[in-house]
Amino acid sequence: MQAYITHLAYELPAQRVENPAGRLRKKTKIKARHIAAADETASDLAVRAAEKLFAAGVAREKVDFVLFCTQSPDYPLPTTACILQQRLGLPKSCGALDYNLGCSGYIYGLGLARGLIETGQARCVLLLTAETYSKYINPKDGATLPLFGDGAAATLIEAVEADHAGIDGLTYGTDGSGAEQLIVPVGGARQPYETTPVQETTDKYGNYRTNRNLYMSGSSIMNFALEVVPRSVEEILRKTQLSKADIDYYVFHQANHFMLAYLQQECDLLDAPYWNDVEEYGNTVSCSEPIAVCDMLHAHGSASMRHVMLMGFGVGLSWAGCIVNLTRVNIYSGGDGQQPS
Amino acid sequence: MNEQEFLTKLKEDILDTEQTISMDTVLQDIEEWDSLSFVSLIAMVKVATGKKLDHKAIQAAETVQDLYNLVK
Repeated sequence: MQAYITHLAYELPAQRVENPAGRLRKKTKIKARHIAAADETASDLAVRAAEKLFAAGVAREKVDFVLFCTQSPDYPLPTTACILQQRLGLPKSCGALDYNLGCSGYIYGLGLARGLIETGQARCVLLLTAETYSKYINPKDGATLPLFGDGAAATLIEAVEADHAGIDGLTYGTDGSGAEQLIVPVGGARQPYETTPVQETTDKYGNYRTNRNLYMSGSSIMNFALEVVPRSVEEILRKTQLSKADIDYYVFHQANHFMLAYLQQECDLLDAPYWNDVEEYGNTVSCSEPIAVCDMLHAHGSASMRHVMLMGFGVGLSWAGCIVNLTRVNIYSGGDGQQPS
Repeated sequence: MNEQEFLTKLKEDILDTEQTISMDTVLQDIEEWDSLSFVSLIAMVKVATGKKLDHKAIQAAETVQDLYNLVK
């Protein structure tokens, strides 16, 4: 029995915010971002993404495991995935868990789903990724605000009789020494809201944030990505005994245009099919990979997508990559957030 | 990377500025010399030369010549 992705959809908040025309927009190619409403949580977006699968005919009763990837849970406890079981009308016999990861989270979810399916613990895993970083970013932080957008994606991974793996070459990496390079310091157990004084920071360009907001050291993250991504590409190819030319599409975490362009050069993929499109989304963290996969399949079809390389990297610091066979995938979103007809 | 190549990349790819840039230009006098430029410069240098620059080294540079000295 092999684990294959069979259904995929994404959902964006209704509110669309355009980035001002200028140098940052030109370099990042982030034209707009979708931002969750004040009373709209990551799990609300995840519910709407999952409902697209059910509306298309996926039976709720067959889901026997739900994985929810977010860094914006509804509550410190209980587990948001348990609430999602009820909200989505999933069977009470299904397993449910949250896991806290960012830009590497989608690949981790695929790895967990494969493990559950191929050890016989589950047959049909609903992987939900949903993120609302906009709630963590200070509105006066002009260096960070234009980069991130909110979103959610629903992926169904099912047990399939097949000769070849549908999710293969899984490669993980972690460097906790970089934890402070991308962080919301206050609000957890280490620095509780109630007892931690608010510290304000304004940089020389007037960007303002506090220790309750998201902080990102862009230069550290760039150095990190340029180091781990090319190495991981080689490692995945080695594990799967594929060459660069065997890959039908490269779909990396969609951070921003210029970062992806430099990574393409550094990985020696200038002539390879390589997805680079953040125009309507910005960086949607753990949702960027499924959104990009949906859009890529919308543009090129799934028939020939036997070996698509995915790679996520970011907060943790954490990274992960794999090869997926997308020939069995049905998509219900795609093309700049528009529904395929 | 020679001086001319560096100046072209700095002006067009990194800064995307209308300003005239020479080796003597003081970085603080360039309006576009900001965190976005730092990140781009790090990436450009790594891809073009294999060298890894850190944020502190870039921040310590005062002129374009200082930056080039980190890169060449």
